[in-house]
Amino acid sequence: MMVHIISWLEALAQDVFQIVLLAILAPFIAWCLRCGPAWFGGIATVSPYPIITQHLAFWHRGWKVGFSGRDGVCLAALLTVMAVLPAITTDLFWISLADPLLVGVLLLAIRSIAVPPFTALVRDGRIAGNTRTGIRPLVPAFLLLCLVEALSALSASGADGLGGLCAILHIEPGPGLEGALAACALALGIICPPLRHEDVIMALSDVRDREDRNQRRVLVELVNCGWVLFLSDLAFPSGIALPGSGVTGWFSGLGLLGARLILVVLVLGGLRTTGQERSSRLTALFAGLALLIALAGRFAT
Amino acid sequence: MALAAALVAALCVSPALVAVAIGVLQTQERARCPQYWAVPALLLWVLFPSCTSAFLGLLPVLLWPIINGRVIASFPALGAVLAVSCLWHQGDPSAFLVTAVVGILIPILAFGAVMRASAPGDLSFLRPVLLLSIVIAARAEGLEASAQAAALGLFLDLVLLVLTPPAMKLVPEASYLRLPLPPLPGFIVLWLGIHAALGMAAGVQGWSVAGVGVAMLLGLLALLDVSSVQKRSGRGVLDLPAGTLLLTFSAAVLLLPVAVVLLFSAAIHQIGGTLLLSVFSLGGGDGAHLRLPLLAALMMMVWLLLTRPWTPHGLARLQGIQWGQFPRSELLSFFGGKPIFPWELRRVLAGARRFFRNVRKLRGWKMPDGRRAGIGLWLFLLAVVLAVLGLTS
Repeated sequence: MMVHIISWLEALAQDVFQIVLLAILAPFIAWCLRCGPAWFGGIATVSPYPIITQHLAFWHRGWKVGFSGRDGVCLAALLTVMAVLPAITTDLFWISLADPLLVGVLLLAIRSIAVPPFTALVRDGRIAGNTRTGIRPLVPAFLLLCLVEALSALSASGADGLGGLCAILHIEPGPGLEGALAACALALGIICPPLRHEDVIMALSDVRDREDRNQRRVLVELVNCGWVLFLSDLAFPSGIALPGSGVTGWFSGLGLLGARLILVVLVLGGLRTTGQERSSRLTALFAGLALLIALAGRFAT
Repeated sequence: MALAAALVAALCVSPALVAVAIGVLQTQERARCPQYWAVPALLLWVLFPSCTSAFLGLLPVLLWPIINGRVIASFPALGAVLAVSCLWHQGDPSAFLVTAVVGILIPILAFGAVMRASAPGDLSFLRPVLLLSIVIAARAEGLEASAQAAALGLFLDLVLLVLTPPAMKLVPEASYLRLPLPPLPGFIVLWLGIHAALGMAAGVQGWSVAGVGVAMLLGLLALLDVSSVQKRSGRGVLDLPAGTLLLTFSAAVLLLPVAVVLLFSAAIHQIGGTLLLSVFSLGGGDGAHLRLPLLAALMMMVWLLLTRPWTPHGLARLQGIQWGQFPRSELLSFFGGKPIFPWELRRVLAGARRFFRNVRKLRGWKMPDGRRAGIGLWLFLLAVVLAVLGLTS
């Protein structure tokens, strides 16, 4: 009984640590997504400090005043996602909830609630602004999530969510499954990239209160962080440590988390600089590739 | 609600009642199938009750408002319930045929609606038939867990379809229950259906491609649900204040799946199947489990901590939630009114139109340029080859 309680507490501590770590990492990821491509090209950009102070102000204001109903819903769902997704190890208290479809749909829903594209961009029944923040990229993304679920069930039948997938991949590495998942993650990153700073500013232009706008902006950056973590989990599930792997396993999981996040951010930045975001042709190509790899892996065995 | 449940139960048990109900549907329904189709289809079905094609001919009779798409049915759910009970009473239906026909019908209807620039009928009324065909196929193959998951999804879907139209007259927000977002019951239907189909895909030889196809179709139907939710909005009969509405809605989200699962386990217990269900962890049939109450509880807890409704500020913020602003999405623009297509699609459409015009004129036309779609075409061909391999192996 005592052992059980200690392991529960350990898993709970992992969860809390993971959320705190992601909240600390979020401004840096936001900076990389916002200014990374320009900085890489040698253009002078903002330093990360203002973003960090904005994030600090976000949490401070939330703690002092509380969040509004809508932001509260978004943030609650987002913190749930961060608690559920395995970042360092799969030894989490809520790992049983880490179903790719569930987490992905939740993230897409948060994304469409946090930025109001509907009130701001649809005027007189016509779409007035750009469609980057709209709901249209979410439609293929939803179907892609269904495809992810299908492929993981086909190639690793019996796996229970991302945790089960990691365990299966550690026991028996399946290049077919890993390739299919990576192709799916790439397709998701192409069709549904993190929200851009400029678009968010435009979409929030008719929110009157300045404080409200700032809060919402930071919230979107947190959503982007969650989406990046989800993509990295999906693309490299074998980089996550398993429960019984001890201290070395934990630290290697931590290092691999950094590597995975950097890789995903680099790929997303590359897609942005080459102008391939939301390219439906590339998305279809990678989705088809994932299907092919998975089917080939299934029939090869 | 009790009346509806009794009706469903009676229809599930007795074929004679099904016949009477079809008669009622044919005479009383506003949007009924034209006689030139209905009479031969009914005759064929009566003459060959165990023939799957006869049942497929009966589908348009039962689900005419969906196929027509322009008339709103007076008893929308009755057709779906009748279709399910007809399929259930059929002797030994070929589930694969039913799945294939329904699976081809859904994209055709959706695409036709997009082309005609009109709203499609509520296509999710076809989902129970799809789910029941999975149940039948899984039972025939001996996959008890998949059959159970699909049956639970079917049950929940039918309850949602039967309950939401009358509930929407009272409170329009009741239609949000069908949305495929995680804590809502609509997501449970989607998840269970997908996992049951994938259990079939992983477990049965001939189904590995069809199962993935059904999973994608269920995803498409869930998306169409999103677009059909907002169509019939307006003010309900009961005009509840925001706080009460929020509480009622959360209670419905939590209690509806619990009640359905309890009823369902009782029914299975009566029939004599193995009882494996628990409310807290719904098995998908392929090893995955959905622990939705845990998720809902976690989200609720964090949300309460974040908004703190027990303080006066928090209460004021809660009152400020506006319910009527469900996103009127761009997805809807595909259906109501003029469709707004992306430029690439418009280019394709214009090209196709020009191509057909040239064909009609038969004046020196050339083949459409296939070079740009080269890789996609090859991938498609390869996928077809693999699909054929999967179907035949």
